[in-house]
Amino acid sequence: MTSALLELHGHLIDSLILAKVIDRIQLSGYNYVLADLRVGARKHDLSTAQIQVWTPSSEDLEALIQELKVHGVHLVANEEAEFATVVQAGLAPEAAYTRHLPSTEVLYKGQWTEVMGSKVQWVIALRSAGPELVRASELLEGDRVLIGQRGLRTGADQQP
Amino acid sequence: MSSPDYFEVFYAINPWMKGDAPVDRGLAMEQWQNLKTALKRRAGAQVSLVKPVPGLPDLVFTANAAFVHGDRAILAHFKNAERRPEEPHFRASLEALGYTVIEPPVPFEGAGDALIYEGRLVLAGYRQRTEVSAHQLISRTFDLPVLSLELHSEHFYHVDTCLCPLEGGHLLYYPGAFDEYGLKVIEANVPEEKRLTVTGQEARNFACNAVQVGRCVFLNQPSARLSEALKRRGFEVVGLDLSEFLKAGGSAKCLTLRLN
Repeated sequence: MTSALLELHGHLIDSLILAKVIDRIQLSGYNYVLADLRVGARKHDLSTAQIQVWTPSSEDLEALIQELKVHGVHLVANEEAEFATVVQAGLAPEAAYTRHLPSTEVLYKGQWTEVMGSKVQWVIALRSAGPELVRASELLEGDRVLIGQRGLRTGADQQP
Repeated sequence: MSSPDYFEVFYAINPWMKGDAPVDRGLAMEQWQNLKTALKRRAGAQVSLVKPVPGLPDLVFTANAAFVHGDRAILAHFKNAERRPEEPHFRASLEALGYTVIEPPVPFEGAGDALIYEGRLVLAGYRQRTEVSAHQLISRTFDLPVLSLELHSEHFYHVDTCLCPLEGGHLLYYPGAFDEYGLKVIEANVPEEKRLTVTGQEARNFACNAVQVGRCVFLNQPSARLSEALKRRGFEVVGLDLSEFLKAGGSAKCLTLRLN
């Protein structure tokens, strides 16, 4: 499974280009999330959309991008990831990329019991060995934390 | 306009150019003169000329030179290498007329792919010749909303081959050149009573490649049905024989660039 963040910019709403692009992705049977949409305030302002899409293989992803390119779609994932500095220990910067485990409970002694730690908020911080998943509560002042989705690829288990 | 002194078909950059019949340049010149004379006499148009250049047979299709609005022009950047040498000639002509010329960073084929509807909205084509990102430049430069319409047929490779805005908010178009999204966009922006569709046969005869000046609509050999429909909307129909230019995939509109 491959994932990528796609971006398109232009006359997306009134021209139905965003609708067309999303329909094409749906018709291909791929999962996607509309990750960001900034609609121009006036009729002649431009809009920007980001779509996170998951395909079975990188070849499928490449074929999809090729098909959608004509509508102005481009891959964002080739851009370097962005990091911001933690200014207060235990507090992730605004716009930090965060992950939670799916809500997890275990049927234990006849009762559904929430698993301890399943509500942990994870962030990606730069450590000596490279990017690492870290509990947001354990961030130290000065840590560098991934923000946004630029330069990020996630696997099948992160699908919506 | 630009006289067809060197007009011929010696490369094929659209399906119309793949026909077997050679261009009769003498006849082409006569047809072009007839169009120019009709524009002047029937509608009182003033015509400025771009000097023809040997080796540039499509320079005659001045609609593709630029998109002009107010005192600025976005110059063409042709998709096909065969037409790129036309760009400096069009630039020089526009500058000589006093326009500020802006160069697009991506393929864009001028008024062939960008038409003003009711003075307030640009109907723009993409996919075949113009890149959709060029439409952003139109919006930014002129502060006009643009509707981007995908052209999915190689035969209707410019939006002016399949759509023609007319005075009073009327719109002549060939539905077969657009996909379901494009048709919805047209329907959402043009009231039903203002929409005038042409048949496939009329479209292949370049019915939508029409020029309107005042109440006169100039086009290649219109069908009786279309002439009647235009007359009912208050237009005076001026049918012309532009058959030599159809061999290169152009007609009345392609042969002209509206400057104001």
